[in-house]
Amino acid sequence: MSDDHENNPEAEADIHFKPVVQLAPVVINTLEDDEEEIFAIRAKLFRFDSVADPAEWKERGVGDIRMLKHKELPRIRLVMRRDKVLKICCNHFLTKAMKLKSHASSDRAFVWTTLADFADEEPKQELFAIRFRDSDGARKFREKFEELQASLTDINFTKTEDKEEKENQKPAEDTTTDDVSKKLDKLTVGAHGDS
Amino acid sequence: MSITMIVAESLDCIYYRELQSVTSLLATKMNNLDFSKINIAYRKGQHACMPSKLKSILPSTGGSYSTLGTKRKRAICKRTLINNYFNLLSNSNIMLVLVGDGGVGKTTFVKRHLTGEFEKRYVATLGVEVHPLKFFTSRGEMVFNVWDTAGQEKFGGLRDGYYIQGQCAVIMFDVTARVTYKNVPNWHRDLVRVCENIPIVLCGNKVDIKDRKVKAKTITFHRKKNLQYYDISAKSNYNFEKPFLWLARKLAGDSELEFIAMPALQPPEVVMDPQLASEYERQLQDAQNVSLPDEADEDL
Repeated sequence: MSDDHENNPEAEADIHFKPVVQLAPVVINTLEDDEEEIFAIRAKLFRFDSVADPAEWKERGVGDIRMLKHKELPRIRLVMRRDKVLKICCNHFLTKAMKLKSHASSDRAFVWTTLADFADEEPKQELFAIRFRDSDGARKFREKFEELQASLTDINFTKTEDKEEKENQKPAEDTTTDDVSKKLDKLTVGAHGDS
Repeated sequence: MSITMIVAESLDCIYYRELQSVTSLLATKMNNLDFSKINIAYRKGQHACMPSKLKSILPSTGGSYSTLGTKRKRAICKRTLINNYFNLLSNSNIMLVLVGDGGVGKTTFVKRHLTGEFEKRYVATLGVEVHPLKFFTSRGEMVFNVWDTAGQEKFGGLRDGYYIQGQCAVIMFDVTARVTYKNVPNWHRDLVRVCENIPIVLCGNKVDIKDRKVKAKTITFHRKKNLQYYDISAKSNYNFEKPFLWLARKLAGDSELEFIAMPALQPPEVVMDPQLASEYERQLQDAQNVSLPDEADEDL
């Protein structure tokens, strides 16, 4: 025992202090009770800092990224907490308009964008990148992401655009990112025409 | 509500920055902060900047400016002001002083906790930067207001003024640079001269680097002085939560305290404007070609 203490500088020091804060034990709810976890995988998340010069990807956290499906409402969100400190680093809805694209220099990383990530408890537009341990994990993530997207009704477009979207998007699994990009262009043009 | 004063030093750039940092922190923490009630006291010095510069920090202030006090007294005023505010907010706010030689990784460590990022570049901290670090514990939220201080002598600012009312501290050194460990007793001495008997964690940072110079068995200073020690790495996240966990346990008087999952609030549903969508799409295309940092991923 004492030997252990001698050799291990990190041994828990036996020191006592008068507590400075008076806090009662609490149970804090994860606020995920109405949702079920559809998928979870370990990953490293990055956010694009376009204010930095040069603009760069900055690490956001390592932990499990999870897809949570609401039990009643047609809602799916992506939630991620950092290892050990368990603080949220990603929290936003999955929407039909999102496009998961491969990162140019990695076969195990994707990028996407969200209008309102709520990790900091205020909505922020973010460009995210996510990297997995291997390309197999990446493939599983993408499959699930796109499968769940296909199951959603789109909340992000007006009714007429929604129709057009549905017509254009039949087998969601086969939709490549290029197809989606073209579709987006179309939608954008459509919107101009309307106004 | 009556407000004490924010004290500026002789208003050279360091103090100006501090004041900005402290003021913006206060503004984000206080919903009803009325800037017109803040009085700024400063001492006219050789490099005194104009009250107009101060006014740019405190917009449309009706507060007054005055000159007074010794250096020490001003530091105390400033510290009291800030702590009063934090105490108003919640009793779970704790002031943490972070010290150690320049370049050991103090700011990088704080940023890692704030945003998750790992900053490789070294930019010396001027004076002090204050960051609230929130943790969710089995006894509720605890917020460490981390006073990230300049390690380099020439950028030191108020020095022991920063330590006043510190409730806990982290002393950091770099295990790849012996001199930074040699200086630990100096940092400790300065700290305990002002803050008696507060919980202190000693951290040896950069343990991810292969060429370690300060070996585990030579780290003994903490035993004589009753500090807790951890090897840490802001780069690999090794033990990066340990200093805060140990301090939280001591400050709350609960050796079983744990960090718990932060509640996941429902995010807002935002209606996508198609034009905006194509703008983000363009941004994404640029970002897609920027390479991601650190491909090693030993932690995955």
